[in-house]
Amino acid sequence: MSSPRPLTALAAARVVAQLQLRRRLRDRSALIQGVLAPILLAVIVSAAFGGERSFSTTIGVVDLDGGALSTPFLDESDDAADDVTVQFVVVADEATARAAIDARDLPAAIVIPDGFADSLEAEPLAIRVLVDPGRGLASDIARSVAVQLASSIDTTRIAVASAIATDPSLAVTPGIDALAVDAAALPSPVVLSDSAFGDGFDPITYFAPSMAILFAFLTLGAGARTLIVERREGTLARIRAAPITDRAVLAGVTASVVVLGLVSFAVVWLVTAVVFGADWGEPLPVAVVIIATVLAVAGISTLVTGLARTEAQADGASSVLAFGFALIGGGFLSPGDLPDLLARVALITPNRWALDAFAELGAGASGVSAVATPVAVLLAIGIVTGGIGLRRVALGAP
Amino acid sequence: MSFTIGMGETYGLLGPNGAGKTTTISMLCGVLEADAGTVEVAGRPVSPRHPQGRGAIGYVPQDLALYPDLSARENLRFFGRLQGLAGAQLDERVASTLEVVGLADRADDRIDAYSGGMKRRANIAAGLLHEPRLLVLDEPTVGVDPQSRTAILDAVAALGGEGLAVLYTTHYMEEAERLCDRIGIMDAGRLVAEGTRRELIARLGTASHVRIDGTGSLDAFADAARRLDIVQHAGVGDGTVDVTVAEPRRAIAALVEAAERAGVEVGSIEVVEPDLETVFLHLTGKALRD
Repeated sequence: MSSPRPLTALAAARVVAQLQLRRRLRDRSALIQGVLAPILLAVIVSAAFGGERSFSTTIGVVDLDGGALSTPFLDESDDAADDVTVQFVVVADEATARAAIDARDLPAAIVIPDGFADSLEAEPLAIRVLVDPGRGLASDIARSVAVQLASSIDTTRIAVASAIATDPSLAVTPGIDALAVDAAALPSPVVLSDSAFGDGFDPITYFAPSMAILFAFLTLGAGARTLIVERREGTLARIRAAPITDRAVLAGVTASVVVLGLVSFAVVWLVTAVVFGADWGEPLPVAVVIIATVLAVAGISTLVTGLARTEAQADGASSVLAFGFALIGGGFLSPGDLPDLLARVALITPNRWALDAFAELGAGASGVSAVATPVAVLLAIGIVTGGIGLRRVALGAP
Repeated sequence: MSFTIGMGETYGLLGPNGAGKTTTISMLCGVLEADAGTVEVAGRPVSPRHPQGRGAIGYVPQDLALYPDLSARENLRFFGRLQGLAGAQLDERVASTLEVVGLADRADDRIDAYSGGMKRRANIAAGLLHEPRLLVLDEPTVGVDPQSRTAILDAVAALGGEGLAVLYTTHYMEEAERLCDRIGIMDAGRLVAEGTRRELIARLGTASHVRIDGTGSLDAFADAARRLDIVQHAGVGDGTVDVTVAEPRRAIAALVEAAERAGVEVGSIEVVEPDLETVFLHLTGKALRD
């Protein structure tokens, strides 16, 4: 029999990568972690965060003043029919409103105090908002409505005061006070989108890539940890005793990790677009952003593997990074909801850059040039962290 | 250290834990760079900078270095491909190697469904697959049942008979005595002696070996024995204290007295024919299992 010819580095890397992929796909963990979980979570999170188009709530109005101030709420509810997402209902008194909130019959109530209209001439009484802390969005809406009402009244008062300053005779005009109150009671616009997401935001389009990135960290982390597992189980020693270079082994493992990440991302893209109508944007730039994102995540996963001494350390660090980056980088919150400091810290995460790029494309940006900056940053993250990680990965002797 | 292994020769590398056997194997397999010197296998240099030379080596690690979730055939195909085997040649080598180790009928079962002995045989098969010139076996019988152990030893003996050079490391002296044409004794990173079994035992000269079987603090007894002028070496074995002495008749009384002082109840005393254990004790001052 002729002696086998040693493999080229590329062929050796391909053999290693094929084995890794076969094992990962066979145990189905990659399928669950890389495809099913991100799709499922994206759909759930989208439904939780992004149902503003079908969101409806009912807010109580306790008009202890008995004046006309509560009228616009009720009128607006009645008139709005299908388009209105916030309903107002009259509640007899504050105690009843509190009881309804406690019983979770109402998420919030606005209380207009007794004598409120009269107080506008001097020191206005405070409008109170009762909320159920567990129902944040409805509570925010109630606060928003109350603020808007107060703002509207202030605007009217300033207008009346300005008119009187211009023409002092108006101050003695009969019925001027009632007119001011009536003016303040005119319907104020209740804009739900002020309290939720901006117009044009499509939750599934945002959360599909967001969840894909989160699970890419977990999936690719597991792939990168292969080296630690194989070192422990002894198979790495046998691989290294073959006539191939260590670089080929590392390249093979890395390639399998990247391929797994790309396939996972691509399937999430396809399924969320076809089944759930996510609009990721133009295919080419989306593909470029996906590749850059997977490389960044693979680089970080390799660095974690390189720095960890044990499989457990690498596993723990990967999970912390996956969820930490997702939280900081906007994986669970809509853009702009983060405090300034966190928004700045988010720039160190690949999640932030990737989500910015996906958001741009989802909003209709065209061409790769539209996402050149985030793609460049993601590639830089991948190259730097991956480079350091590969140098740190100690293959160990047989 | 420096040693050579000829074709068809089985060379035993003996040494206690920490003696440097694994490091030596790592350098021999070209995975670890030697501080100085060279390794050549079949006339080709082997080192991390010369990985191609590893193709002449079949490495069988002490651990079961196989993927438990793959079948034996899939494992062998993977490791065969890494060695450069492909196509019909790969198929033929996988089939024939599985036949040699007696796993042909279970070739498509997952490794984690195998018994311990079958796993060991599959482990050896992966090292033989590409028909290496040198087979490196790192303690292949550790944790193996007696029946599988016998099968493995028979297989190794047969391989040596077929012209393959074999490097065999072990803790078990009887394995080395049975299998190895020549033996190297390692201690603290050095090769302290090398030769055939007969040559090594001849190094003992006229010294005799006394084996005391007893219960109690054998370590304390061995320490006390070493302090006796008449004792050359003493070490603790498996429930015994092995002592090398020049004059056994004169030594026995002193040894019994030392045992009593150390609180050891002596069960039996025998003067035994020197073996590799004796040689090892003589050369290193400790038993192989230390």
